[in-house]
Amino acid sequence: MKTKLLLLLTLLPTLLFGQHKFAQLKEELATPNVYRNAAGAPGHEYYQQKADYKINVSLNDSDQTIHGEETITYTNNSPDQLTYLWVQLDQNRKSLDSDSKLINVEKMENFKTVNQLELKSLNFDGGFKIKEVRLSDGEDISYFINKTMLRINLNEPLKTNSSISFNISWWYNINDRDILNARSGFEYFPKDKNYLYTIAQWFPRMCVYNDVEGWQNKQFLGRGEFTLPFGDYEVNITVPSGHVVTATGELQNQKEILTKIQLERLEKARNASEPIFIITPEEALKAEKLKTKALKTWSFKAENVRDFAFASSRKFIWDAQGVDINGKNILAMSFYPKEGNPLWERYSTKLVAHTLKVYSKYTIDYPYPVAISVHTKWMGMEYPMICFNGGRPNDDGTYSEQKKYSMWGVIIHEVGHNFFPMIINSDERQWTWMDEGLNTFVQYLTEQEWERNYPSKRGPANKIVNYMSGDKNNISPIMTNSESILQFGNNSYGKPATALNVLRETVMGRELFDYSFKVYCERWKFKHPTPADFFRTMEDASSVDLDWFWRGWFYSTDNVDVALSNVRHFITDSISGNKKVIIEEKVNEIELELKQPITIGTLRNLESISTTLNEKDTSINDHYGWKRKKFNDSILEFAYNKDINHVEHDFQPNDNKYYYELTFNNIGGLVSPIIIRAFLENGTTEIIRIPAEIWLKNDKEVSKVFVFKHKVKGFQLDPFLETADTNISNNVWPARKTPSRYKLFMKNKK
Amino acid sequence: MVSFYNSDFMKLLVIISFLSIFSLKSNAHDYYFAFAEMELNKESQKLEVTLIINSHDISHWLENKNFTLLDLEEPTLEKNLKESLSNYLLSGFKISHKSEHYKLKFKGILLKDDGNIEFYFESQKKVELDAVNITFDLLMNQYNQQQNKLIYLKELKKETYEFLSSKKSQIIKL
Repeated sequence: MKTKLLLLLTLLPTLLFGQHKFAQLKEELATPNVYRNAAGAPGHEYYQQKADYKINVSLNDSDQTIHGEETITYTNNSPDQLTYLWVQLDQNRKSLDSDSKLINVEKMENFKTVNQLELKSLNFDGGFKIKEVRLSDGEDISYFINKTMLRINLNEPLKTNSSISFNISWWYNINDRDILNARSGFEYFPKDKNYLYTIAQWFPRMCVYNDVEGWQNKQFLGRGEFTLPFGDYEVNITVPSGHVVTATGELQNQKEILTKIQLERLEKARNASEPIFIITPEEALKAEKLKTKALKTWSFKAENVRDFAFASSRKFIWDAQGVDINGKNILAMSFYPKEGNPLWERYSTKLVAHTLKVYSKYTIDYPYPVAISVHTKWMGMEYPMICFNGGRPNDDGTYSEQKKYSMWGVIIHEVGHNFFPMIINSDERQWTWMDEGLNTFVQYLTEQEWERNYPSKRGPANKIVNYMSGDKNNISPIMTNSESILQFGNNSYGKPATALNVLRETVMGRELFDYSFKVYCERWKFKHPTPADFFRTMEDASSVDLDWFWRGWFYSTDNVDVALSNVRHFITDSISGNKKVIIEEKVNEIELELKQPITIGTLRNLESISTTLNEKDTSINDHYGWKRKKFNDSILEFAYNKDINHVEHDFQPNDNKYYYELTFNNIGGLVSPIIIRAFLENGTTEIIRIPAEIWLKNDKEVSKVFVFKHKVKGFQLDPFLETADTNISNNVWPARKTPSRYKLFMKNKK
Repeated sequence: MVSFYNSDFMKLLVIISFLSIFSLKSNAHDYYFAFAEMELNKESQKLEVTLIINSHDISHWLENKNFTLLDLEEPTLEKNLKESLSNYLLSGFKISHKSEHYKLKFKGILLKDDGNIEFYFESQKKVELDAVNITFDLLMNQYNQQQNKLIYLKELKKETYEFLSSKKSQIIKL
């Protein structure tokens, strides 16, 4: 009994305050140590392992198999002796006995067509066939394969600051992406009988060993992607001689591989400000028809990368241009079949170049020599320096506006992944949001600088309200392991991107946020950050206590719904000489006329982005440009009309006499700053910004008194849709009737 | 641009067919929502309903109907497709009172900038009742995580009703 009482007393503070919205994240975050400090930076004894690869691989175009042998040199920089090493075998997710198939929850209703049902019975044998594992000096070494992981049992422990080299040889069947969806695979083009290979996660790769997880050898189930140690790669890729190969890193034997004219064009492209063809559409068309049995080997080198991917096809058109990143010239390139045009030759390389520039501004300078976008039919996937991107027009070359925006968005997104997680190397197998969320946030910034008022799918606060106001049983906190996430896209891409936008626009302000975000990126480039490192750095570099924000947005499924529940009006008046008294006056409830809101980002970007890329380079604007212009004109007209021109509320005036007590209710549970727009009777509007800390002592209901020089006609909360308030109908006083979508449609139809 | 873009509806369907095969990552499905907004028109006494669906989700319906891009380019198919698509959507949104069903009449479509499509309907006859039963199970057979939401506009207030596979119907007081 005494023990139980003691335990209760010990736990009491946690029980009472542990769930408090403003409680510090002490229990949730790992204790700072010599490897990761309390400021969110790498500690003074931070270490990371290194894995260098020499790989010879051949791609067999006749049976779609890949055969390779590799030498891995692994360096142990940890303070620990290692008795075994873990190697990832991602292709085993496609093996016949893969767990991924077994754990996939299904209902008969999920199979809508016979084709889909037949696919279930597909027995594609896609896993690695390991032929040999041996130490590089020829000595035998034992190993054990546990599904997607291979353990090498070392004959002697690998000591601190020492290396070991071993060889693995293997082969596997490449999957047809039209039949078996995957990040890697081939597409067959029946009209010209050619294949286009995008090859990734294709060789046994070292797992990360670090101070956080020990060995990160969590099985690959499909969603949680990967994390890998950095290292240097030398890769020789043998393919049919008519194929063009592009890969992570720089081509080493271009003089042997490329024609004289191609070499000249490539040299010219390095300093070109517009894409230049290295292989023209006409040349690619010719190459499609030349199917010889001869082989060619393309050699690539890449330094300080965490992975290596490549693409190969006879069908590739190749264009390139130079990009200046703070004095360093980067080669932006695209490889695509004719089926990608006209979209690809017009946009892909320009998008790569633009993405590198904007990301370098907000994060770190792009450090690699090349950045490559490769066309696929529909998917998007990222690897160091190279990514595979969808966006294919109709057969006749026409495309919808949405198709164009999808292609633009996916290229920006996948090229952006060079920064998160290829360089700022978070653990995707644990935390999808750390790369997808941060990347989607910078993708939004990049899109807005590409085209004025680009219709970004994710980022602005108002885009996430449908998700966040959904049934909580179907929503996971952002801090959920990658494999267990419900509603993957909204959870890992949309919500964290929105959270960072709310931080930037509303909680911290752009200056503080941008500085702190850049500090995080600089601190953790070419390292392995964790969520705690991000959370701590953002606070440490800004002096803003954000524990309440991380707790609410990242650890809970609460949503913002703040209601303006009551307004009272008071004046002071003189009675009997100079004595003043406070008198409550009846409020005048005349319905406000509100216009369509304009978001805070749109409003601020009008000033902060002086010229978007499409305003500088008008060749980006296609036949859909008139629609965007019409939309922008309407925003400009609205932004500069007198209704939106407001002043910040003056909290220290001299001659005020109108007092308003406003009561706010926190219905959604997520604490939030309160942004109030007051409509004064003299025709002006004032904006009041209250920090989230107003909820410190009571997170359910608070009230506050404001003083104005003039009588107030009405109030509106979150007027620029910046807090992700899920119900804006309770934000207005006097309460007003919102016209239904049906009525608006019928009105506009007339 | 080819002539079928002259028709908003054809354009919509073409867009749907493209979005169906496009997402950021293989196997990713980002959308598990369908929304409805409903209001009782006090003058006509008819229910006015807007269904808001992401174009991505309707793509499966197109696939199952074996529609291809070439089929969609046929202007003569427009009317049939519209009716067929409306019927499909309304099979997942039903209004009833006891044993009586209140059919909805298709009034229009609007493609929004954010990739959502709004479908507008009006009840064919007057709804002079205190309450109706709404069944909103659109797409629930397709996606395990589908959750639908109805916003009922009632005077100055908005009432929100959630629909899950475990709770497909709800009584709405008018």
